[in-house]
Amino acid sequence: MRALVSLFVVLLTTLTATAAVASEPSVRQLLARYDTIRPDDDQLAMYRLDWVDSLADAQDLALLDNRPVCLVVIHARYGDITSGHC
Amino acid sequence: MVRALQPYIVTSWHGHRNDPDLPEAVQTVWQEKFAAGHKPRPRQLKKTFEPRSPEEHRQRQSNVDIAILDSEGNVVHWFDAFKHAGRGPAAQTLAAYTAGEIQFATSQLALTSRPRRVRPVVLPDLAGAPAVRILCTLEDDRMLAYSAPTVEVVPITGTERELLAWSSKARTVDAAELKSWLSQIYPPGVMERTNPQTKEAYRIESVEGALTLTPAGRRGKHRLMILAGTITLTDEGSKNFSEDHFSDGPFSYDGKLEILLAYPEGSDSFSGLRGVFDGIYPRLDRMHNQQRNIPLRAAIESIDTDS
Repeated sequence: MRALVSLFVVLLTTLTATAAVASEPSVRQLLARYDTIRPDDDQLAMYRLDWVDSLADAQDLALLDNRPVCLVVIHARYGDITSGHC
Repeated sequence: MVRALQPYIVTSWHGHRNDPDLPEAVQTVWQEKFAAGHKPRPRQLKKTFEPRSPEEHRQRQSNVDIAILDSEGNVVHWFDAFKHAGRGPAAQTLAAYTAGEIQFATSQLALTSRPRRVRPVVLPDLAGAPAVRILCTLEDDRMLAYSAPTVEVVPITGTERELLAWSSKARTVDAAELKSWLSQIYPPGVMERTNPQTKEAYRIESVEGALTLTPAGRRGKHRLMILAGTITLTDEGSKNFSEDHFSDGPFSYDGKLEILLAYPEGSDSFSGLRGVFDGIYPRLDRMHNQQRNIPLRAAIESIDTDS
C-alpha cells in the first residue's frame, strides 16, 4: 500500500511538472508576440513631443514657460490626435 | 519633424465653424482659410521653400490645419496639414513639408538658438493610477498614416481585478466584462466609421466572446495565468452606410486575444499583464466598392501596477 501511495505521489508530481513545463512555451510565445506587436520607439516618435491635453492648458503653460504652441486644428466632430485617433 | 517640434508645446482641437466657443486662434486660422471660399486651382511647382500665401491656402484645403502660436497665443503662422501637388519640391514627403513649415515658423519666433534635445518617448498614463495601455496598429499598406499606432489608457477597476483573480483551476470569463479595455481596439482613422447625421465617430457598442483563464505555471515569485479566446467587436453603426443608406446589419470584426497575467505569491490580485490582440478589420474600399481585410493588432500592457 505504501509503495502504491509513493507511486501515486511520484506520478502526480510528474504530471504537475509536465503541466507547468507545457505551459512555459505558451508563456514564452505570448511574450514574444507581445514584443513583436508592440510598436517600438521609432513608431511612437510622436510621444517625444510635449503634448498637453487641451488648448487652454497649452496656452497657460506657454505663458508660464515663455514657449510657443503648435496647435493641430481638425475640422470635424471627432479626432483625438494625442491618442492617434483622427 | 519631431526634432523641429521640440521647442513647442503641442496640442489639438477639433470642432466645426458654427461652434459657439471657437478658440481665438482657431477663429484666426479659419477666417483666413475660408475668406474666399473653397476654390481649388492648379499650382506651379516651386523648388525652394516659401511659406504659403493666403491665396495658396484658399486653393486646396484639407480638414486639418497646423497653427503656430507665440507664448501669448497670437497666431504666428499656419498651414494646411496636407501637402498638395505643386507645393514645394515634387518628391518632398509630408514629413519634410511639415518640418519645413515648422522651421519657417520657428525662424519667425527667433527660437533657433534654443536647445533641440529630443525628448525620450513618454507614453500616456493615468498619473500613477493602475491602468491598462492599449497600443493598436492597423497594418494598411495603402494608407501609411493608418499604420501609426494609437495609444489609449484605461483604468483598472476592482471589478476587473476580481474577474481575473488567481485560481488554480481554469474558468471561463465573459469578454463583455472587459469592454472598457477591449473597446479601445479599433483603427486610427475613424473618419470612415462616423454617423453621417451627427458626424460623430461610432463607438464600440459590444464586445463578445467566451475567454478561458487558465493557470500557466510560474515565473520567479509570480504565478501566471493566460486569458485567451476569440472576441468580436461591434460598433454603433450599420455594416454598410452612407448618407442615404442604413442597412445590412451591424458592423463587426474579430480576432484572437491572449493576455498573460502575473500574481505575486500570496495575492489573488494580478500585479501585471502583457497581452496581444491579432485580428482582421474589414475596411470598405469606397473607390472600388469592395471590402479589404486588413490586419488589426494590439499590444496590451499594464502600467503602474507594481510590476
